[in-house]
Amino acid sequence: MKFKINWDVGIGIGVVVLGIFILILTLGMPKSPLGLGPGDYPRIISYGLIITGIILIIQGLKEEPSKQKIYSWNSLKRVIFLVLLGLFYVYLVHYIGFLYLTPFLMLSVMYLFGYKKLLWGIIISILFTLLVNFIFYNIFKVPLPVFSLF
Amino acid sequence: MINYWLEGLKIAIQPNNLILMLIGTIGGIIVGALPGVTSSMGIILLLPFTYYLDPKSALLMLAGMYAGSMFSGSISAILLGVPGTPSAAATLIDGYPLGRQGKGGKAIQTALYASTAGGILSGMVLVFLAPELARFALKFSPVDYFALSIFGLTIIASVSGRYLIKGIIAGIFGLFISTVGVENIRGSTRFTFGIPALTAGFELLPVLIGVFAIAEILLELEQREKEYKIQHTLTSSFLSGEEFKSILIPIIVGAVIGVFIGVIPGTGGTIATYLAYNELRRWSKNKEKFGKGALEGVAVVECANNAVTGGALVPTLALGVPGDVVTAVMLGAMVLIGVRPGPLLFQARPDLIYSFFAGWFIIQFIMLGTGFISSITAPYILKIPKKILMPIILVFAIIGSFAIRNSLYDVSVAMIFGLIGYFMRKHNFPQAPLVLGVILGPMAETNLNRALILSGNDWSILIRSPISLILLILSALSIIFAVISFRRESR
Repeated sequence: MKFKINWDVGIGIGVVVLGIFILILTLGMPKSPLGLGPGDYPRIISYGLIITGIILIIQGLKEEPSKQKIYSWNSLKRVIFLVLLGLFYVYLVHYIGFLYLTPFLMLSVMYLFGYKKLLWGIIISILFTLLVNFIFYNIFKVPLPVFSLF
Repeated sequence: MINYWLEGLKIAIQPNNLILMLIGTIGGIIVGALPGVTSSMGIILLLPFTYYLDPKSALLMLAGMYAGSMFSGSISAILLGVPGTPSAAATLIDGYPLGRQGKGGKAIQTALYASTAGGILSGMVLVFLAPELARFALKFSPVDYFALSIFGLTIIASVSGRYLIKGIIAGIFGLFISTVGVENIRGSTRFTFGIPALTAGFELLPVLIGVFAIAEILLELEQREKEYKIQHTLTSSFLSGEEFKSILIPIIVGAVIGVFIGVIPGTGGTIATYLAYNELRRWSKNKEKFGKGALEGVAVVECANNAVTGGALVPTLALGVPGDVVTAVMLGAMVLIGVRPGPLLFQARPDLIYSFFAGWFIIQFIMLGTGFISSITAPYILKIPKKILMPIILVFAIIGSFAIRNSLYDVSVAMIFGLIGYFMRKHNFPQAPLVLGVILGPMAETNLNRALILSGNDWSILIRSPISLILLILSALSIIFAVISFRRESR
């Protein structure tokens, strides 16, 4: 699947929209008689975003859009899947615990990277998780999430 | 002064600190050697291990990682033809041909001697210049600090290369990110949209982990089929007397150029290495050897590369303004372990500063020893498959973002910034400016506020203070210089 979009123009528009959005939000913030109010500094930032966004749009319009494919659907799928996997892990680890859930995460990521040796994958994931758990939970006393489903 | 040095040396040579420096340096050598794992990523991944250490020990361990990774970027450049770190790209010119001729061991050893010399010489400049600069910076008023943070942000111009406007956008976006949550002037909340987790804003570490580590994993995932293989065997590791003599002049040239470039904020190793290489080739009697496997070429580049490290730490430690991308990450790391670089640090924590100085020199010798072993074991380090390495890095990234305040929200932040970092890289937005914006944003806002309060809302204070005026002029010049050099390159 090919995306034939002038990305710089699209991103430039996004930056301008973000700048305007921040600007609108700062208008409702209280003013300060002396020094900066809470909205003054972000307002300066919003001007910066709007100006640079417009420059990026102009640059994008001047240049020929690159014919080179930026994304391939196959790789993008893997990237999105990994991010979702990470977020799902964050949600589940609270209940399942670091020790039980992390080997599954590692094994899934290994598989995503094309690792095919299942038995070795399981051994590496379990051993590595045990090692990390020992270092951080037992030595550094980091309160890693523990199983709390019941 | 002597007392500070003795105290610093006493701390640095404590057995636990020596072990931590050794672990940091070995970790750095491994990290730097692996393609796709940068020095910045190594420092970030080491951070969770340093939270629980005394700041002095943590800083020494991080310094080991920094120095080790800067050297070992050359290993993969020589053996695989792929630079382990961006600043080792110039090592490829002569290093890879040497590797193909079966002289990879000699090339790695040349890189090692040159890196050690560069580290020691730049360390001398660091210990001489940084305290002087810090003493001068004590005279700074709030408006000067504001101008200094603007000057620090202009590093964006040089790290962005031909994508200047994208770099500036990334920097401004970083400034915006730093405003989310409770503002530190009046305590009111901004841009939280009623989400309680956002009240605390974005912690620096999850942002760093996302942008540098997770984004890199996502990019590697895209090209998962690409594994690097060593095509030749490693033989003849030892340099002859004649060869050793031939690299002495290149080492001096590399050291002088590297230190000089390193001290200027916003320059960094890549510029220094190419400049040093070109200068040496220009004046060399054996021009024809360059590019075909000259040990001199490897020596000058690697010495310049490591000479940058001490130089770049001068503005980082003395002013709290990073010298290049890696020191920007080092600056963030220092803040996270409770060390706030800047002129006051030299007054408040001389024990920490001087133990760091003493440790810096010890690390160079540790690097010499461990690097020597790495010249033999390098092929094994490079055999670690990406398919196993990347999941391991992901787990460290998760632990690192969680451990800072034991919050799963920070892990989500790291994942989301990973995706942002990935899209930035895909569309040629440099990532370092975003991080610079997050680091320098609060410093800019707080000091601008103070300056305006002191001057009764008179904005002309920005140009009435001579230091502020000079810094603002330098900032403008830095941007103009970047634009001009980009236009020249385009032609």
